[in-house]
Amino acid sequence: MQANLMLKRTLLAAGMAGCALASPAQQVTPAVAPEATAALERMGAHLRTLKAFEVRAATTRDELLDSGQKVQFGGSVDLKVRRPNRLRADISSERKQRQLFYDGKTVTLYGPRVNYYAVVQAPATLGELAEMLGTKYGIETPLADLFLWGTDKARPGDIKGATYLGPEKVDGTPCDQYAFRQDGVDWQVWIQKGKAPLPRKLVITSTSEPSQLQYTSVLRWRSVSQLDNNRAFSFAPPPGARRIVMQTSDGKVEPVAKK
Amino acid sequence: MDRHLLSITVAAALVAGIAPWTEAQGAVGGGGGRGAGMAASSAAARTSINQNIQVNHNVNVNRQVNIDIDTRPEHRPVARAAVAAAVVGTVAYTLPPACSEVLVSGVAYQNCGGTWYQPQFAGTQVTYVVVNAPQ
Repeated sequence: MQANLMLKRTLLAAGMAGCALASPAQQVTPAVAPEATAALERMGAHLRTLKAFEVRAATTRDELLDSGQKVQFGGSVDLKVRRPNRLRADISSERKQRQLFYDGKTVTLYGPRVNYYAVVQAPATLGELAEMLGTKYGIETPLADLFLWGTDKARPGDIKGATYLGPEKVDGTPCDQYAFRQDGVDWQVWIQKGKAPLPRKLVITSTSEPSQLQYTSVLRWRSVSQLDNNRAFSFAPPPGARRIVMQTSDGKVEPVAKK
Repeated sequence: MDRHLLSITVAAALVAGIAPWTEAQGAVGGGGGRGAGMAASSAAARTSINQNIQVNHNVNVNRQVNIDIDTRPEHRPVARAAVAAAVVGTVAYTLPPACSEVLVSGVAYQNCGGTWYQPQFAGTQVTYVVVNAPQ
């Protein structure tokens, strides 16, 4: 009887210990912290209010050499956007420059140094443009996330992990740092504190291959006073520029349609 | 993904021996307009990361062939690989010497000793694909 009681007590104590252990575990930040997804939604909502914006980004991009060595390349992106259907991107590195012009009807890819350009038909909105350039032509629209957040093209439902990592300054500006996980990609965003919750830095880490390649961009937002007219978004071939064709992702070339 | 891997293998084979990395602007060194070669031979094929979260995010790594450098016919170094009897569909990252640019229906071709190359954007990279003589 006594032994039985002791056993009961032991079990009870063990049970309590178990509870005590379990309790802090329950307090561990859940995989998707509501404050982090809420911050993302606030940022998206704010971005959506920007009918036009210009942002300049200093970028780094990891690449994996055949040898397995990971290296990093720097560059810059100057992105001008006017919703719903204008975009201009100047993508530069020491090695290569490209410009994208989207005027709502066509999209032009231009290489200033090679002086070649290609023009293809474009869909009606920015979101569809990014989708089409990626899937049909294998061209990434730089910083497309900036105009996709806050729209139905964004995919917040895919987020499997969301954490608030605390405050951190970017370019001297106080921000909050958040980390998110999705299938195949971990990413972080630094959101400016205050009334204009703009993303100021992005780090995208691929988790679908062992070398975990990263793309980073530090974003500087500009005033948008010159984006009212269409000049920035339309391409006029400079002297000596030659039109060439654009391959689709399957390596084929479509017949050239008159512009 | 298989398609990407295949294209890498093929393209890497083509690139091997053809092209040192070159700056497009022939001003470097002033050597008669031909760019000074910058060897980076080990980097024929590279894996690079997708730059967006929301677009194509299930394909986060793009495999692409690089020679990711601008070249233009008048500023190219002489290709070291033999180009005789190039097969239609062959992809080159540089052209053989002595080509003449011809515009057909408004788009550029290069006639290099009777072999026709069509410059194309493959993604954002300029490639030269051997084609039948344009009509």
